Amino acid sequence: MNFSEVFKQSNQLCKVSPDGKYLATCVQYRLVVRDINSLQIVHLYTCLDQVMHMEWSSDSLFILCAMYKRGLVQVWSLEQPDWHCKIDEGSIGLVSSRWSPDGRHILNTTEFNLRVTVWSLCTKAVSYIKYPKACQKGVDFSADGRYMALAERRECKDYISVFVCDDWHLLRHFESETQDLAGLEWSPNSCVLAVWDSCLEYKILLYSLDGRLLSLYSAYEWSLGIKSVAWSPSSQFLAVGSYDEKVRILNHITWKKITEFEHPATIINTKAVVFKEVEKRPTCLVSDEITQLPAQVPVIKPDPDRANPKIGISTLAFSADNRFLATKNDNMPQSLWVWDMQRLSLLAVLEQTAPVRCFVWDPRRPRLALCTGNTKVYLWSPAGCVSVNVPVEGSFQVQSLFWHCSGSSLVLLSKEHVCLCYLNSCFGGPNISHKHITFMSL
Amino acid sequence: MSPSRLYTASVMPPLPLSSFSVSSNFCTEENVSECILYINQELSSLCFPPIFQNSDNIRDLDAVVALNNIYDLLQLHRRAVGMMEEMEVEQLKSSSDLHYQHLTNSRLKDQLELSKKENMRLHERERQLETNLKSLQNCLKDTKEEVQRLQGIIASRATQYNHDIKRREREHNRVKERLNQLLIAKKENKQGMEVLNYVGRSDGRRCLWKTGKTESRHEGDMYKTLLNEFDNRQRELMVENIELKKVLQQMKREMVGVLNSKEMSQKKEKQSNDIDQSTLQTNSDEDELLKGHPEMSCDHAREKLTNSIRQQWRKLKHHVERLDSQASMVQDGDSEEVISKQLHEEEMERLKLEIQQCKEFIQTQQQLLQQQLNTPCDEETAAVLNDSYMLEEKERLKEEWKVFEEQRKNFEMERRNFTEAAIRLGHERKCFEDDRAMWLKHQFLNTTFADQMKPQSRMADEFSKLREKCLLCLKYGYFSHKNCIDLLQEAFIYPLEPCEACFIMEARTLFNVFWTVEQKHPPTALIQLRSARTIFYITQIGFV
Repeated sequence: MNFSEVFKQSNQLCKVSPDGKYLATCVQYRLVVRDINSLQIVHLYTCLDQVMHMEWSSDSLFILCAMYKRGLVQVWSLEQPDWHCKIDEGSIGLVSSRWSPDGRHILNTTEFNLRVTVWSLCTKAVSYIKYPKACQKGVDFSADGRYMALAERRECKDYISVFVCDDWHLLRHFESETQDLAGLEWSPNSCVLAVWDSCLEYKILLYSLDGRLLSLYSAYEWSLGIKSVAWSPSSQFLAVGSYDEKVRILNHITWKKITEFEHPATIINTKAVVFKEVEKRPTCLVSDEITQLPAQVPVIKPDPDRANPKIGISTLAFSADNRFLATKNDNMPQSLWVWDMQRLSLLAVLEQTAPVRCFVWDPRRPRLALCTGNTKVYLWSPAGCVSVNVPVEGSFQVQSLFWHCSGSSLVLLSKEHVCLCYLNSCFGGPNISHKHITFMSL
Repeated sequence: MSPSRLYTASVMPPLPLSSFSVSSNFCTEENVSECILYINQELSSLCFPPIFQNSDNIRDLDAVVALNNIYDLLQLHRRAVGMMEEMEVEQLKSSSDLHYQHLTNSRLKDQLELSKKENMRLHERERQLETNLKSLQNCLKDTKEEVQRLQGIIASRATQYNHDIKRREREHNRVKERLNQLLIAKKENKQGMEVLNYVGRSDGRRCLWKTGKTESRHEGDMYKTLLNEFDNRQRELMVENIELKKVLQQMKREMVGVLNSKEMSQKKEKQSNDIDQSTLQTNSDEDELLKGHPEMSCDHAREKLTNSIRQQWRKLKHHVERLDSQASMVQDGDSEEVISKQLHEEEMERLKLEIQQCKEFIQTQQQLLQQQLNTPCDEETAAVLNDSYMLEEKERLKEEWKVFEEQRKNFEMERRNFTEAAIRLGHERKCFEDDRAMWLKHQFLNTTFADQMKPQSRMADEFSKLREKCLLCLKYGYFSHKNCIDLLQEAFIYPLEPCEACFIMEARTLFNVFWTVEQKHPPTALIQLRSARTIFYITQIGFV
């Protein structure tokens, strides 16, 4: 494992281009584009204000920099460094800005979610979409980039609009049966839209691409409901994490629950492996111990008087080959649970010494990288667990991380800095493209 | 004493007075003295003075004493009677008392029974009430917990609602402020985009106008995507379905096989055997039904398959349960398939012993091997031994090599000889061929074709003469007709039937064939023949 030198960044704005060739970082009001292999600065752009959001276009030719305070969006071109584009939202304000999947349109959400403006870089056309809903995830693009689903709220009712990204033509507009829509997400095969309600009601709705309601699933009433939702890469499973510390897996044929994963405080499953990070002397490389079962998982009871309590499954992530699911339960913040999707059982529990801040799967291999805010990076694969100290002078507290699209390197972000970690492919096994799991093998 | 006896005793009448008057059988004229004696004795036993004094055997009756005795006896009698009456009265009383006691006893016993039953009933009722009480207490506890849980839920929902409301209120306030700002503000910042130049689309195509056609195209694309997805899914499901069906059928077949093989050997299940035969029959029918159409998913066939599998599985389960119960009991003389526990254990013991022996054997072997490897502990001797072995082997190999070399040399020589001989042979052959050709040519040119139809005998004579002189015959022997044909084949011609022919050849090239029998050849052919270099004859008997 090699580590690169450290560069400055602000606002955790550091993104790798979709083609994997460049790394863009924002330092205050400057945008720095580096080549990923040599880390030499290729381009340097200056924006008008501190950049709050930065995004690559899908074809890696343009970068969008949004400055919310000034209501400005500036777009920079990699091919022509002197090309410039500035979108001024004026007095209407700017709350969020994103690219469309074709890389030629920018969607700006105005302040107070009054409307969504679609700016085109190819033509002079401007489109407006009224009444967008301000919720956890109100906009989602399908995986093939052809359709966009937008949540709307008119007259105290939720609606969903499906647009064709080609020409922003409204394909379908239908009422959603949610009380208060909290989020929507396309399935990876772009045929099913999962829509879920706010945490006051456990309700997840599945709509087909043409707006028909396929199914409604509600596990229980009254208690706080859904906290997180994730599709499996093959669209076979839909994992729903809720406030009752359970993950329920729905299957794509009947849309009924096939199993639920519990996160108990005492693990008695003998087939699972518990990796416990142990505080050893700071000079040696800390390796994780495998503890004997039954093992106890440290639990932190949440404050019952606060809204959005820190309990329940807040993050779910499927591995790229569909075989594993990683979950984090908020009242056991130091543990990360890995489930085997072929056997539908617990595979491993990673217990760290500090709350897990971020975990991401390798886009190519079944390999999980996580960080807890200390100077270490932890890697898990079915073969075992490894933790590496970031060898930087001064401490580099890893706040978040993400993988390079080829899976060969990790980008580590601390509060003010960014560092790259190059991995050898020996740890983690060969590339596996995501497979459709058949239960015949059970 | 039973009351009845006392009764009878008391019912016995008192001494009947009438009996005395008739009782003259005690004392008669004859036994007066005995009577007197007897009476005296009785009286003395009763402590009365004797009434008869016996002096000189004269019957002297003391009247006073007798009268006193009689009077005393009467008194006694009266007293006795009185006592008896009293006693009878008392007896009656006591018997009635007893009777009364008995009645009360039985009455009380009945009462006791009744009260016991009542007690039991009350106990029972108490128990029921207690269980009721417990269950109600549990209910109450559950309800309390439920209430608490719901209260907790309500509380969390309330906090969530409050949080939401506060958030919305804050946003509302911000909107109001903003609106105020906008109303007051003088300059209005216009929304707009400035760009250096417009960029082409990412896919390089021109932007299309929004028309009805594009809209319908979008619809079409959407439905196409959906349909593709459905198709894929259906295909996958069908494949899975077929696999599962196959597995089920195989399972069923195996189960039927297992069941039948088990039940064939048991005498008891003869009837069920028949039934199984019939089920087997039906199963085989189904198999045929389903074999022909494995993808058939009609409900009827599916139901039949699942039902039959359930049936078979149930039978198998019963059978296994029965075997289990049989195995748990130690039964002798049962069906042959069930091994009694003892035998089983003996078998186990024997096998264990065998395993132990084998292990020991292996260990000893290992040890010996180890020893063997270790015995040349003295390194020098080991080295020497090894060397000697090596030397022996080397020498052997050397000898063999020598033999091989000799043989090789011999082979080489022989080969050389053979090649020389072959070359020589080739030369000789060539010379011979030339000679033969010349000879034959001369021969042929000398003979004439004017009389083609000469009798065969003449030809035969000629041929016989030729035969002697034919170089070919001399050299290679006389050919049979078949060989001629073969040789002709080799010379690129195949005669249709055995006949006399003449052909012209030079080296390996065939120039012409003349069928001489029953053939008339034109003069040009004859000229050709005459001028030919090599001429051969085929006859029925040979090739010349």
